[in-house]
Amino acid sequence: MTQLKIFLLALALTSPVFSIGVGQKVASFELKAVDGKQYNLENELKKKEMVAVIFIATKCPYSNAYIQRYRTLFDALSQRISVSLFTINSNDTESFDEVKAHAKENKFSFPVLKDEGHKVADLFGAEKTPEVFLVGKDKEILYHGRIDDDAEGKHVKRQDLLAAVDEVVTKKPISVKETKAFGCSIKRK
Amino acid sequence: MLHQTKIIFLLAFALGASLFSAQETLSTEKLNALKAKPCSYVHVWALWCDICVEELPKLVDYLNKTKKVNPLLIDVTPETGKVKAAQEMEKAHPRFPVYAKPYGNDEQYMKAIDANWGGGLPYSALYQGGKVVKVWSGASSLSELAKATDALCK
Repeated sequence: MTQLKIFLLALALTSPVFSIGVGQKVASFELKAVDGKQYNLENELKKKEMVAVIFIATKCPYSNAYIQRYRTLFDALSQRISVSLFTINSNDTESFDEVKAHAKENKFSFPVLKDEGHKVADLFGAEKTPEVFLVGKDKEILYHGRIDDDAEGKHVKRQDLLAAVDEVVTKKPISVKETKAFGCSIKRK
Repeated sequence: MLHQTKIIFLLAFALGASLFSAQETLSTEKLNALKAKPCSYVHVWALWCDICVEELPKLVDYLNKTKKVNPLLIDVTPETGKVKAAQEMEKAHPRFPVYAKPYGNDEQYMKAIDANWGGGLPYSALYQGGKVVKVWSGASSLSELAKATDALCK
């Protein structure tokens, strides 16, 4: 009986953030970006085959290590006309103005959305920055995980997000649907 | 005399440098063995993570004092920051094992810590019999940690 009590207590105390799984569907959302425009997932998916959603931060070194690579990734995705990029800042500790200043300072030409109250991070179950969810038609998660296999960017062997996009574009099954990487926890107050 | 002073200074410098060199690495096999200790607490830390650095002194102080858990700290700072990370760790004076993650195989390592963990830092897990019984993602609450160890670590 005591063992059962300890087990039940342990179960109640264990509360990791569970992200939405590959193959599951995410609800649509609409957020204001630092360019002043509203971006809506469902509307975007009427125009494109996929939307790459990346949770980013202004103060996370793991995310900031990708600043240059966010720009090249956006260029690469722009060449693949069937995919859009939404970057989202869900940190309660980083204000809209800070996010806007960070995007301007780093010359981000892609949409940077501010997720007030981390509602969209909760929809995805996003845990950290950077973290990628590739959303397909019908809002199904096609790929989840890292951008590439080297946070420092010195020895990148595989660009996981681009590889998944290219496989969808070429009508092949996605070979690696889920990856993991270290990052900064999303700050939820 | 001046020559001897120079040699002593160089030796002292070399000793200091070796003390602040990167930590010993922890293989997944050894990690699994340490996790199997009664009420093992693993905290995953990186110099690149601001919360990790901010909360380190208080967390180490708590872990130095508590008798309830077997603490273990794993530094996952990328290669370029390893020496600086070891210096930061040294300042906190941990009196329990501190290791560095070996280079590469991040995913395999994360799974060895907790198969359900996505990689957000800081991260802590409490184990009983090698199984995860409680996790903390983000900043550690010392009162919550104390409450959990009181309840789970008899």
